[in-house]
Amino acid sequence: MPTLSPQEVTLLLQAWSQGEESALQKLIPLVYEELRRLAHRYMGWEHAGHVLQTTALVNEAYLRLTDSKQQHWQNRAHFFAISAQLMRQILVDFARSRHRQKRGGGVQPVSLDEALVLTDEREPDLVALDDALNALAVVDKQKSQVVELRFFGGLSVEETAEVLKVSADKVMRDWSLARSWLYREMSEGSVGKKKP
Amino acid sequence: MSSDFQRVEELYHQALSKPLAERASFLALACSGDEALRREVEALLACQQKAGQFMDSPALDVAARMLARSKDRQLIGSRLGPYEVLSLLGVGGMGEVYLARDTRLERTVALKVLPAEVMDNPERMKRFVQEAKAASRLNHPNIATIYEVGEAEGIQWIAMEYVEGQTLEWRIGVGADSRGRPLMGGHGSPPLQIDTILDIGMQVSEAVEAAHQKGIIHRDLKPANIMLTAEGRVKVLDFGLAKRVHQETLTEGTAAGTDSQTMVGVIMGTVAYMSPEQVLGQEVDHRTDLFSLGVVLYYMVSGRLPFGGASPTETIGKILHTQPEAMTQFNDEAPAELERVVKKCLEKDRERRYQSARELLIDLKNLQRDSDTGKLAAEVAKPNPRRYLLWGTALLLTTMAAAFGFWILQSRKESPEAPLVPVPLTTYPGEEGQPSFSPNGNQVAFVWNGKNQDNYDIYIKEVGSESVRRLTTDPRPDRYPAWSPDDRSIAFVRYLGPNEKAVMLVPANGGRERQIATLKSPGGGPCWHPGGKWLAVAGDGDSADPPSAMLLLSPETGERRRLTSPPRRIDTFPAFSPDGRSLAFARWTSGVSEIYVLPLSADLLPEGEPRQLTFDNKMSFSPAWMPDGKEIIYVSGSKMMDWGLRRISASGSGKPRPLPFSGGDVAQDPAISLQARRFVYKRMSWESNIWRCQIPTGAVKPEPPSKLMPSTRAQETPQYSPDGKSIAYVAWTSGNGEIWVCDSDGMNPLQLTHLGGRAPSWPHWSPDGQRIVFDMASKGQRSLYVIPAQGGEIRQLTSTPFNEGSPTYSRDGRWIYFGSDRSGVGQVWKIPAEGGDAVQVTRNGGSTPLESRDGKTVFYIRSEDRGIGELWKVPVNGGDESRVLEQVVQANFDVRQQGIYYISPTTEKETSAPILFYDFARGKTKQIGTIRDEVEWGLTVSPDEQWILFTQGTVDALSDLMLVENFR
Repeated sequence: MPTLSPQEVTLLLQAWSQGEESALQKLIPLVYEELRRLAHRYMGWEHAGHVLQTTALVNEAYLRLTDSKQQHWQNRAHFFAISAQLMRQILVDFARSRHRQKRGGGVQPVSLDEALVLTDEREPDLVALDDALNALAVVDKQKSQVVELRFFGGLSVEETAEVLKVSADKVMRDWSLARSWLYREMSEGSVGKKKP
Repeated sequence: MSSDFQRVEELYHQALSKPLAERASFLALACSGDEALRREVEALLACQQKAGQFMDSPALDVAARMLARSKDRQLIGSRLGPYEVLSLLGVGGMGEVYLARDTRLERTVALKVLPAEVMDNPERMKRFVQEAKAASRLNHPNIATIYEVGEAEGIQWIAMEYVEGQTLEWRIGVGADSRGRPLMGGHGSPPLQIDTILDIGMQVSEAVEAAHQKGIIHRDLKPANIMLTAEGRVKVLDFGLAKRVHQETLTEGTAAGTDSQTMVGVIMGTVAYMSPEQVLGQEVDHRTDLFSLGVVLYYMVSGRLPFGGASPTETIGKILHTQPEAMTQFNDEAPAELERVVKKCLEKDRERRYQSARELLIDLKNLQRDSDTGKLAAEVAKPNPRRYLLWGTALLLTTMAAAFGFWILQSRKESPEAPLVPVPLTTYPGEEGQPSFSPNGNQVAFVWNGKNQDNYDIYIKEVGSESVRRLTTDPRPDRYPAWSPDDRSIAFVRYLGPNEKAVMLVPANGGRERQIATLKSPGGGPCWHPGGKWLAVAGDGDSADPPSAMLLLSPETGERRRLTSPPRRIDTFPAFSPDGRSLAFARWTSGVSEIYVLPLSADLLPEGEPRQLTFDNKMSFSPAWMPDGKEIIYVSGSKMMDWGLRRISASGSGKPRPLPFSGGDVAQDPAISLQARRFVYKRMSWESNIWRCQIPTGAVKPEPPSKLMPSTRAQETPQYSPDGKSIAYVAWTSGNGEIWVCDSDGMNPLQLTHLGGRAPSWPHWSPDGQRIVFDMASKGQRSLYVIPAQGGEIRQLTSTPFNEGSPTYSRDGRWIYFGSDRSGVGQVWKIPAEGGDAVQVTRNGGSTPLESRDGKTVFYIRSEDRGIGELWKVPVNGGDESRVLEQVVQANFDVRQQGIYYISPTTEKETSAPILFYDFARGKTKQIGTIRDEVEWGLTVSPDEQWILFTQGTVDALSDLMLVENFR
């Protein structure tokens, strides 16, 4: 895995945010390294599920991807927003590629109701979530940003509030509604969606 | 945002603030007839409740778990032939066992899926299938029937009768009463009534007799293979199957080294039930099963093993030369006649045992009849004369010499002190870890996810005994036991939810649990202050952000005190020094963690800021103090597969040193007994294999890469011999790496070294193919050694206080290049192959040298960071150093006439690394292959450049606890 200095990461993120797609190619391995690192730890420690230090591990992974570099950004909020977008793009692409692989082998049987929302382990399907999040952005841009920052960017409530320049309480409320909205959107699929 | 949606939002939040029961009426009123609006809000509210943990963990976490899962649960939910795979029943040496449904007969079966190592070898596969087919002819009520053997989609399976019940092992070893206390002997009354024991013994004898009649030997009779159904029926599992897998992995194709290799096999498996002839690697016959059955009977009666030892070596010694103690010492209800029967089973000379299961069955039946009519008196049998003691001792010595001969000679030459050798303390299926010693060091509390790998609970095992007892049974995961200094209780962490954990206290001998506190995200477990009044824990009671600090917690009053306030850092894994005046812990900062030490006053207030102890720039965590408080052992590595144990002076002086015995292990969770000079750690199971891939030439499409040979546990650093006919490599079999040589097609593996725990590595052939140079641990450092390629005496080439490794011969055979830190930093050096003074070759840093084919240039790796380095070159006698390639992974390169084969890191949108060829003449690189999993050490190209060997690895979720005695 190439080791990039914080300055390099900063430059790449800036380049990417200005539309330079090749910068993304250089950033992807960093995220994949974290993914693989986390996955390995889950395989070693977490066979039965979701215990032992999960929060610490994930925080640590996010820290590694984002933390030390923030001082090089004049605008911390901008940095967080960009890195959350980056994470979203990379992770959704990752999930999409796994879907393809899965289709190659047998598809896991999931009950119909669940199939639209959850994968076999009752976890959100990142690809479907991405679509739903795009739909949410049309209805309410800010709520979709809250989800992008928190869920994809791994930011805390306080950090999300800082980026969006709103109160932490507002973030919590937006998060609650967005989460319900997305869940419904994914359960119903876009076909059955009614305009409010 | 549309005004419609704004209205929805308002009502949603207002409704949420109302109690559940009032929401409907509130909405009906508030929507005042706008049905669409009401439905919309109600739908969202319903989702709010249904969503559960939806999006609770961040996307990175979701994706990582997806990746982890995709590797290990591919079968569940799929179909194998006529079978629908339902769930995983267990994992063992035989591969995985799944619960499956036969769609033709609508019956449930146990489906064994053979491990890849068996399936990958056609010859072994054939024998295995023959064996299974023979066993499928057995049709007996006490034998779990084998229905059929088959193959679908490249997976070989055996469909067997699914027996619902518990194993005998579970019943006598880990069986517990309703309060979780063991039913084991040794702590209380014996576990089973004599009548029940006789009944089980007879049913097993019937099964064994039926199999022997058909010429089938079990070979691995033990309580884990004996199932008890609810109706009291005994079913013996795995006739003729179990031992095949292991034995053949190890002895295959090597008639010469049978004894020592079986020894390796023995140490791998469960030794305690083996017959002397099995232990010695002699041919076994049906009477081997009768010996094992004797061990099972003895265990049932006395609650202990007749030949139990703290280590496999000790157990083997006892099997060969010790007479078991009388069972009546442990169970005064044992009839004298039963004592005689069991002793007859346990005769070391098979000619003196029962000659058939039928004879044994008759004796057991008579015993039962006599017992029924009350004839049996519980008199103590007189001990038998120790007839075979001399005979046994002689054999033991022979065996030991065969197995450890080289090692004994070697260690005598070098060090008067016995080397530290880890032996398995637990070898259960699934994951065992996080050990904590009792104050006297004789017991270990640890975490195990159980027989079915379905729940993490706290268990306790006595060192030197086979029994284990379960301390907690809660369905939620229990982790991180910490034995209190007063020996009374054990603190541990119970996971209540994704972000909430409870610190619990339970009496060490079982009993009522008490919750001391709840915490958010503690990493690492609680640690007792030696005074016994305080626990150090990682966590933060107030918010999840910052994730974790060091806290003091009083088990008595629940009082909390914060010891550290890390800004956007994570403090985990607390460990008090033996004097209680320092707290070591791991602090995570931007992806790496280091060990810190915080000095404390007598009343446990921080004295100044924490001091950084390690500067490894990796993940360093899990500190444990040596009893003298002068050194700290900890775990360090840049990725999971290279997590290893290190020791460092607690004062910060001196560099960290790896613990020599854990060389090849992925190690974690070190624990040290302050009183007993014992050390225990968690060894994770991982696998790395040598793969072979055809180098593409022109239009011919190469075959996909395949494993060179079945996996042992780990193989790495393959090297083709100069004539291309052989391959030298390192393989881990019994937990220790050794150098092996096999044919170029992976057949006929022959173990070249028997060094035990010295972790030899990096074998490289002399140009005439006569010798192999390698490095291995010597007094905490690595040094260079040479061994004849046919085996024989090992010669030490360098003996300095420096780390020296990765040796390779020059093309004329006169020099050996190697990496060494003699000059303070790692540089490439060379030394005359016959010994002499070393000469420094590089000036600006370098490691893992390899001479070019024309003998003019040395290629080497420089500026390595987390496994990625640059490839440089320098003239063989020193001079201008220049860079050739920017990124090479784990020093994986081989130099040929036309160019360099190497592995470069992942740069594309892939999780795989490319194997590349750099063409000297054209200055260009082309891809010739791909590595999918973790890239490990070792790449070599055959002399005819037809084949390339590389090494890739995976970590799995199995682990054992390893014990080191006389730790110092």
